[in-house]
Amino acid sequence: MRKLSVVLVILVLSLQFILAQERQITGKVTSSEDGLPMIGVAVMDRQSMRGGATNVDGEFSIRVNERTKSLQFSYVGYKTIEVPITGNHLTVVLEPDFVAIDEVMVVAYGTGKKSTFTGSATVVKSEALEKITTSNITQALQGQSSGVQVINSSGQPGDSGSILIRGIGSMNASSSPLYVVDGVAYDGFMNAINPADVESMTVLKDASATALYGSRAANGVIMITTKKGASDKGQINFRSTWGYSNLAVDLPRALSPQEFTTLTWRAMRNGRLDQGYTAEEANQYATTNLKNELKINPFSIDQPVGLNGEMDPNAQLMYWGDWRDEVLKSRLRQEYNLDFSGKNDKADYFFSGGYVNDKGIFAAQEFERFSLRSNLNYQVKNWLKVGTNTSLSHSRREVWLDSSTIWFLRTISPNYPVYVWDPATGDYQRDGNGNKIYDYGDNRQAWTAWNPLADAAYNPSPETTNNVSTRNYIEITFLPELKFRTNFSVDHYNRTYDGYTNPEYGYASGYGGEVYKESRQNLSYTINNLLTYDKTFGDHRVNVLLGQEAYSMHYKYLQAAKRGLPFLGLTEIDSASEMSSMRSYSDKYRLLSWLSRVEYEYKDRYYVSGSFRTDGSSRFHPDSRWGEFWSIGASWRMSNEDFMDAYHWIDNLKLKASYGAVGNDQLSTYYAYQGLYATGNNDYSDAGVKISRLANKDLKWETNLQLNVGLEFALFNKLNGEFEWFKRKSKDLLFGMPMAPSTGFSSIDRNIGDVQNQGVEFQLSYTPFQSKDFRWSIDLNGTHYTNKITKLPQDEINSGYFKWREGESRYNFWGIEYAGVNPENGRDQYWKNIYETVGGEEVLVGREKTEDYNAVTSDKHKKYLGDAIPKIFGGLTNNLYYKGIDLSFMIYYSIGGKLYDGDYSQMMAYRTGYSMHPDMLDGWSESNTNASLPRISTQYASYMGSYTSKFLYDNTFFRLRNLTVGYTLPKSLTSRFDVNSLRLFVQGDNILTLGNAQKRGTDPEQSVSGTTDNRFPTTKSISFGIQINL
Amino acid sequence: MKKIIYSLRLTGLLVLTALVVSSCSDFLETSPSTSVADTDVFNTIAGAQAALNGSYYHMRAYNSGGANRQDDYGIPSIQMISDACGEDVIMWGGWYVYNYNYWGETRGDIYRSSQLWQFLYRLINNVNSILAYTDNCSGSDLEKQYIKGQAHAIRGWAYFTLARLFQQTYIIAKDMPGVPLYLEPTTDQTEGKPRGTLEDTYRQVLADLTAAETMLEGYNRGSRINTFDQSVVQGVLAQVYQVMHNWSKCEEYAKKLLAKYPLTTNEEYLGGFSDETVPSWIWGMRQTEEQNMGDYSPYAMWANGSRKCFSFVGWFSADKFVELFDQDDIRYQFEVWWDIIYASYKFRDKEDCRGSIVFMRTEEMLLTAAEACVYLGKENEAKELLWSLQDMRNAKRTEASGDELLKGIWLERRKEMYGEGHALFDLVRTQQPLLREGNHDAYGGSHQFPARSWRFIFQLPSNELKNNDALVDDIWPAGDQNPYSGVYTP
Repeated sequence: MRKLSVVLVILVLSLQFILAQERQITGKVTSSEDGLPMIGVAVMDRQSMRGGATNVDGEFSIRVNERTKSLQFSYVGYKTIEVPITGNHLTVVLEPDFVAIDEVMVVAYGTGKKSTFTGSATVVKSEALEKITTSNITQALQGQSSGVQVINSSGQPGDSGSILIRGIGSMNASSSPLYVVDGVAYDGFMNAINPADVESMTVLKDASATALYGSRAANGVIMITTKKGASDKGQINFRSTWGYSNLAVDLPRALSPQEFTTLTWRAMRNGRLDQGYTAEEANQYATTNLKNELKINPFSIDQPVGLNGEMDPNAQLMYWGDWRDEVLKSRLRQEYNLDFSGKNDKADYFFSGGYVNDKGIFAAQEFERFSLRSNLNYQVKNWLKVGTNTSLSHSRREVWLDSSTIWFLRTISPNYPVYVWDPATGDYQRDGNGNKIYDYGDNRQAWTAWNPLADAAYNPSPETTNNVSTRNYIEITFLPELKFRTNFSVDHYNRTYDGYTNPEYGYASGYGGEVYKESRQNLSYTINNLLTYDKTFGDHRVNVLLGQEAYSMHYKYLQAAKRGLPFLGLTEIDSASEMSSMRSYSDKYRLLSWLSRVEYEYKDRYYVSGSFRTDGSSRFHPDSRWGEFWSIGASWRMSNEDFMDAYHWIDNLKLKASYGAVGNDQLSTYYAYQGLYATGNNDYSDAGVKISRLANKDLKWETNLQLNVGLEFALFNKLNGEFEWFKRKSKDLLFGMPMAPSTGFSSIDRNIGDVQNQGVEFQLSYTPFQSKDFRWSIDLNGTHYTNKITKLPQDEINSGYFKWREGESRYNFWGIEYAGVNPENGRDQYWKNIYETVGGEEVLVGREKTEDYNAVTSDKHKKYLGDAIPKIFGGLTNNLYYKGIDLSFMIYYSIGGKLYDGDYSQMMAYRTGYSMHPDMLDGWSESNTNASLPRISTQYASYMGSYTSKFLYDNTFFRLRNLTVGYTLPKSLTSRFDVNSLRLFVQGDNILTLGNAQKRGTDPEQSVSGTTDNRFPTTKSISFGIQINL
Repeated sequence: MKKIIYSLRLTGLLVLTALVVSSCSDFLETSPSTSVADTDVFNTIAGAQAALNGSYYHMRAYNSGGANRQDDYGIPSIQMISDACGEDVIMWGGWYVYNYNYWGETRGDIYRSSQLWQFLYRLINNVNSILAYTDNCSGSDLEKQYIKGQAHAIRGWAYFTLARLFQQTYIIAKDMPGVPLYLEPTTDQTEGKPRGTLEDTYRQVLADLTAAETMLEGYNRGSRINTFDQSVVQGVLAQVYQVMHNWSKCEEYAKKLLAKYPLTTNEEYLGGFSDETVPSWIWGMRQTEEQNMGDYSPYAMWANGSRKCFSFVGWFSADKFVELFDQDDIRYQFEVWWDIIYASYKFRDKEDCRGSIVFMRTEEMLLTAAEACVYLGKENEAKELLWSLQDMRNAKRTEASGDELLKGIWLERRKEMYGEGHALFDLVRTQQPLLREGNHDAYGGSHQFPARSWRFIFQLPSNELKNNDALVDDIWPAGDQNPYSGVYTP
């Protein structure tokens, strides 16, 4: 504190109060495009830092002192210019800035100019975001920024995309970026943010950009900035869309009952052959025993398949289950957003309300959200400004559907009816109201007691979330160049899950149903104090930031469940009779930080910046709790050099480089360093505790050393772009270091691994045409990176489908190499390594094919099969505007990278009672010996779907992420109704997907690790919308 | 200027507030809500007792061996594994079937060995802390003595159990590798310990148990039948001396218990073995509504249709075993099911499906004493003891003498105590072969292994050999790993 006051006093003393004579300058600003006056152009006297704005007629008036030689004019989307003061009246013409060099962007703890920024960041604006129909803003980021890998693996309404910035920064801790909303780290749910409220998303990618977020910045930062009032004239905006969705990549076609039944016959018959029976015996066995294998036989006769393996012509299909069509139905998504905004010289405001209701495509899917936001800034005194950004949201989601439902849909046999069939009447059973009764299938061979449709109808289990998020500040301007700001932010959510299983139908009927309540509450706040000093002296400009921050999070969990409900329809705990579970716990997490940044620029050509932050985290032992994070960056704006004057077509040319260290404290637990005894280990009713964790005081954060080198350019006021090369070295990664289990512990967490991500990325924007009536712009970006493990606690670590080894990628598949189908007998073959012992050592001398899966399961017959990380991915965007008609599309591409398609493999072997993929119909048979798929058989069933390279595919794909066509009614027409603009549009999301995964009925967007998990696939949708501005 | 001073004041105030909030020295001290710091446990005697209670819970808790499976419940799981490995039960479903089928469950790279190992070593680490820190607590010396006495008892029992699962029996293998001994609580600096010899292990077992016996003098456990009092310690000591062939001590300790506990009456015997209040129960566990094995207790495995809740209908009795009983033996509780297999009615769950499980009862002590007498040359006394049980159960008396008498006693152990977890331990201790004949064949279990086969002995978990620097990761005698198969020749 003392130090701080000394600094303040010195700053105050160094002030020079200049009482010079002032004069009034007036003028008018027009646009070079149409010559019309421009409203709200910022006019700034850089000498006194006094400013104003143009009025409705484009006119301004400002008092300047004698020393003022020029005025600066800036407006979003236009080039900022300095106009020398000649006389008392100025006529200014602003030119649109198609390459946006001087754009102001949101950076860590403040704003900065893109032209002077030394770090790496991409800004994605609302115009790009709003073209994507989504209830979760993270999904809209896909393809919009280089260096950012977004995998939208879930089509469930409201779900988040998973985001990786510049590769995989951790092995066992989190690899997700930090989200910052309106300047402060955000602790709510991403789907609580109404995408319509978002002005821009800035992705901070290198240390120079992120180091001020210290211990949480290692995986990059995504800054979400909400809208604020920008127009002197009050604005009313209304936007609404209505649409329907479907699966972007349809699930594989379901087998017909005839196909399923004959395939089953084939499996049984081949299995019998494999056991050594003759063909005749095998055929007879399959025909006779088929009904036992099926258990539920929907055909009119006992032996529906004849000895030749064909359906018996007399077999009548009495019933079957069209599960796909019953369960998946396209339903309405509707969204309404209304906002009011404006500003005057003292205040700006933005109020909005939104409602979205997305019923998805599954019988009981729903995401509904109500949201409200008010953003207000007010100049209370000329030295005091206050403001608040506050949002409220309430959402409700049906969460019945999970991965087992998708697994069910993929493998449910068509022979099992959706509704109870009554063989006596030869019709479906009906209840008292004449409705069909759901069949839980207690006698099925597989999926007994399952009916997702019935569960959806009988067991509504909504999840309700309330989210309050508020950002508030007080800003004091001591001097034009010295400001002090205190921010106070709170994020609070309360999520309740009202689980219910009915007492009459389905698996819970045995114990009378269950009511299961769960509540999660989180309250977190951040307080920070920031002092900024920004001063230009001649050719020099200095900007200094000093700050201090405290963050606290408190999470509470409460759960209770009771069983035994006397009647249907009761869904509260009070109604149930028997306690079945009850739990509660809470967590606390805190951070304390000091931060600073210095920026220096000289002659608008040379920029240097440095930042430093120190964080104390409650996650670590007091002795290793404080971490230091820093960055240095520099850039050189070559285009501003005198020797570049000759090349006037070069609008901008900038070289930049940065290096720094940021941290990752997102370990799996908040108390990793503490030696603990777990409670609840009671000896009946006597309370007991048991050792649960070893004290581990040396544990600390994972550190990321990031190097970034980049080149930015803008040419001909048409083309601009950026190339960047980065190297991220993550060190001190957390690993479970194995201990001898006889010590009572099998491992202890240690910071002992390193991994490196290295890559290049580019971003290009081209504006071939730009006039009042016709505008066309193209954006293209791409990213390539590689991941390499550089240090491990052991030589090798097997991790599921992968084997970690120094020098290899984290997601390089490791396994058995498949050697195709043996055309002689239709069996799968695998590559087996042949070893010889030479001089006491085993040497690999060759390999051979084998049909014996068990012979190749040891590591010495396995190999690396390919990396899940794509070679290159990115987006291509086109925006066209012609006389009121706008058209835009975005293609997301991902080239290379492997996908292990477990969703497919689970359907590619015979398992009693489970349906299969239609590809199984094309398996090897005596008449189809060239088949690429093996011969179906009950004997080898368990090996056919096993993990080998057989189901590992190149996952290159292209996706038409968005296609929008809009029409803005002529102003001459709309102005008659006092409407500024009225736009009608049609928007299509994910309407086309190309790539080999979709041929298998698998969505190509699965996970970073390239594995599937019966995820609910991404959806495609078509929506119609209207946008009105008053 | 005034303005500036004013705003400076305001700023000062704000900064100060923020600093006060953040400079509270304990702002960064957070701790979990459902765990306590290890340094806070042993402040009071109640804390030490809580640690002891946790250890008792561990002995029957789900996932105590880290296998995270429904056959990982501590002692009852060990009992079921032991029975699965013997000749008397046919496991035609339910759990532990892999053990019954000898499908490699003793291998070091299969979860089972790791489950048993971790269950016992986690228990040992917990009681090591109790032994190390209880003296620091405030409380009476007697209370501390009783807590530490129980901790010694648990540790002795745990090392004894490890010794029996992971090495051939003591009498032929005392110079063979034992199990790593840890007597201090583990810290992040603890290194793996070597196996030492089996004799070292038993020395520790005896040291712990004899200390416990003395320390628990006068301790009354009340109705907590799952805890160690002096009697349970004496019972375990009888077992230890029996394994060590220290027959005079064995006789002495078995008889101590015979003097204190009555035999199970026939009425009690036929009562379903699920009632812990039967006076012959020395050690066992209850199941309660809150703490139970769900549908994975032995009662849910046995096929006899008596359980009100779900049952696997998986465990039956082998025909050759049933043939060993006389029809009028009161223990002949068998019934032929589906014309093919014998169901046993010995174990029947309580009405609420929360039957208690017996770990040790008087008959074991009686038969142990009888065995000791044979070895000590007191055949008459041995017969008297044996006959008293046989007469009561209405079984034929064993008239033979010498080795045959010994075998008669061993047979009586099987008939009296099948399903109580003794099968594998007795097979190894008495160095008998496994001869599964009769209808085992129809259910996949017709294995024959010679006496002292390594197939009865669990290998150390692979992780132990990989991560314990004091062990050589190779098969004995080249390294510290037990052979998986073959026969041990002393």
